Amino acid sequence: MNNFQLLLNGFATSITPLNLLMTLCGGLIGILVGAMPGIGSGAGVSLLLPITFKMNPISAIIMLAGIYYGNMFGGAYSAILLNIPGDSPAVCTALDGYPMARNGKAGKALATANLSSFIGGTIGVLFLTIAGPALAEIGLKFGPAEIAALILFALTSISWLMGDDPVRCLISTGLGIIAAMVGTDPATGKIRFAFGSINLIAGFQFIPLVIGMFGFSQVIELAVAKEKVDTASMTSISYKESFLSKKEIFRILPTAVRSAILGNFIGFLPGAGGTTSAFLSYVTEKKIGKYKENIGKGEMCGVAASEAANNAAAVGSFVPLLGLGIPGSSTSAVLLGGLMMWGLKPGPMLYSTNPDFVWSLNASMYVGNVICLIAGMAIIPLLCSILKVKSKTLAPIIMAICIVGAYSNNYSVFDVIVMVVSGFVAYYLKKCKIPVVSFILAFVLSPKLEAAIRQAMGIAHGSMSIFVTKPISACILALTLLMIAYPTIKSAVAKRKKGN
Amino acid sequence: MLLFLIEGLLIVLSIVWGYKSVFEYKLISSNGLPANGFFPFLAAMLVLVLCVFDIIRTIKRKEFYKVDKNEESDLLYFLPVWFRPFFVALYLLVNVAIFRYVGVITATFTTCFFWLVFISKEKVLRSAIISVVLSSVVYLVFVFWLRVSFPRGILF
Repeated sequence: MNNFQLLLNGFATSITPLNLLMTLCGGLIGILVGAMPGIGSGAGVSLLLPITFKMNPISAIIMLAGIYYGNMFGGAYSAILLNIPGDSPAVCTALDGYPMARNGKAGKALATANLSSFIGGTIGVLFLTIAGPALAEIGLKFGPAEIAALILFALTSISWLMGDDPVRCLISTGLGIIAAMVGTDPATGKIRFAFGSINLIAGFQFIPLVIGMFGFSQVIELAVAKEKVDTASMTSISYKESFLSKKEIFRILPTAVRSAILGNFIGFLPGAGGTTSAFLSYVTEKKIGKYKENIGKGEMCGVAASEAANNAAAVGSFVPLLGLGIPGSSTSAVLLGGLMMWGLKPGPMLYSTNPDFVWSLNASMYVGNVICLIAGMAIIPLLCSILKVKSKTLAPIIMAICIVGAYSNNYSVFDVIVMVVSGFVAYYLKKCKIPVVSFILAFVLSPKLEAAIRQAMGIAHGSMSIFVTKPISACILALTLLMIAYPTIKSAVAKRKKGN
Repeated sequence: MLLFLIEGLLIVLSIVWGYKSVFEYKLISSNGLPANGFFPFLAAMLVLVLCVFDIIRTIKRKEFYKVDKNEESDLLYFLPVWFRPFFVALYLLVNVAIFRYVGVITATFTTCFFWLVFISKEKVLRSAIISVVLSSVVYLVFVFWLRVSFPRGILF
């Protein structure tokens, strides 16, 4: 059966009443979570992961993916109406969206954000349809050495692409590996770092850990940080104000398409995600856009660039996730954990062993984007009133969900304690500007990395030369080294220039 | 100071991990392949070296993190700033204990209600409505639909 037929089958599965309902629920929850300032897609997906336990994997992933891309739609609402991005990818949306709202064009800004997100998402899914299977085919040719090199590249590139401080990103990566090493070694059956505790024999469970790191750390932040939402300036918006004219649609269309393509490629890179793609697309628009002189002063194209790019990046991160088993963002790392929990093995084999699953997810994204566009427009007035809910009211609600979600994993109070401790750790790591995203990515990928290194060295009779004698692995490792050295080279060049 | 404290703890953690990897789990097995301690040792050394590097760098650059008073919430005004995150964790742990003995629904209600009334200073009626709705959602989704076997308490 060729890919087109498989996609058609996927459509047939994704439009069953249950899966349509899951797409709708995921999209709506994603929009709501995205609209709430400070609650990212990672928190949304991880908090809802426990409720997918009893679902079949297809319906579960359809809902969770809906939350992810719905979140990108929703992030624009608080950015435009309150000047507070719901999630970091929406930062650039606020730069033009909020001035538009101040000029009485909040409805137009929201419509632009919705339409651009839809364009970005759809282009992203088209790319996923084409590139996903192609990447999986390449991935099938990878042996353990290449897989190890690729995972190393993913873990390193996140440090480079996160921007702020590669050293602290790498500390977080190391910490994630350390945490993942607790428990029984799958290769030898030996128990490591359990310190005599029965609860640690199976290691730290992914769900309580991720709920703590994304959900509970958020509760601490909501309780400790100052309330930033000023709802006083918010006015209600009617449907009439929220429609774009033909001229306006054609004004934003080239920007949205251009930014979607750029955002999609960036989303493909591990760790780059929506934020980097939104920033790059916004800057590109400011440099080469037709209306570049208006960017930053309330220009629709500014909103379109940011929104199309971040949605395309969200969908783009599914390409390496499904094709290679390497998550492209923190949320897709959570999804990877979910896939493993349902007994699936993301990676090149997924396209051949579980075609129903992959193509149904793919097809549901086309449907989901349409649903999010319609729902996003339909609930504008409702969202305006929900956004008035203060974070101090949200904190205990998230806290209660954290307890219940963590307990549901194994019916164990120990998991709740793991959740609390990991939330606490994540809060202080963030305070020290050590990113949690690298931790999660490392936690998910390091068992795979360890197994791949062992297998590769086993093939080479204990020699590490296999990593450099195999051409693909050598190229990936060279690229990894270049990434590590890049900040040093850059600062040395800058110093020399300054000296001259 | 916070950065030094956290990275200091990470250094201690990595030393423990490194020590156990080398002496307890071994780095290389008898057949020359990586043993159980090989990979954890690499990770521990990575954390150790980078933390030391970061501490030295921070001291050299004098980039110390300072708490901005304007960033602090007035929500837990009655507590010292350093204790506020601990208070949130403590509040949650107390509720976990309640959860074990009185059951999930009652615990969800109390977790939400007491925070809303005493910390968020919401009106009692509004707090009660939010807490009842949340408890009902938890009951319907986790107990009724997913059949999670929570500790049985005084209500459900």
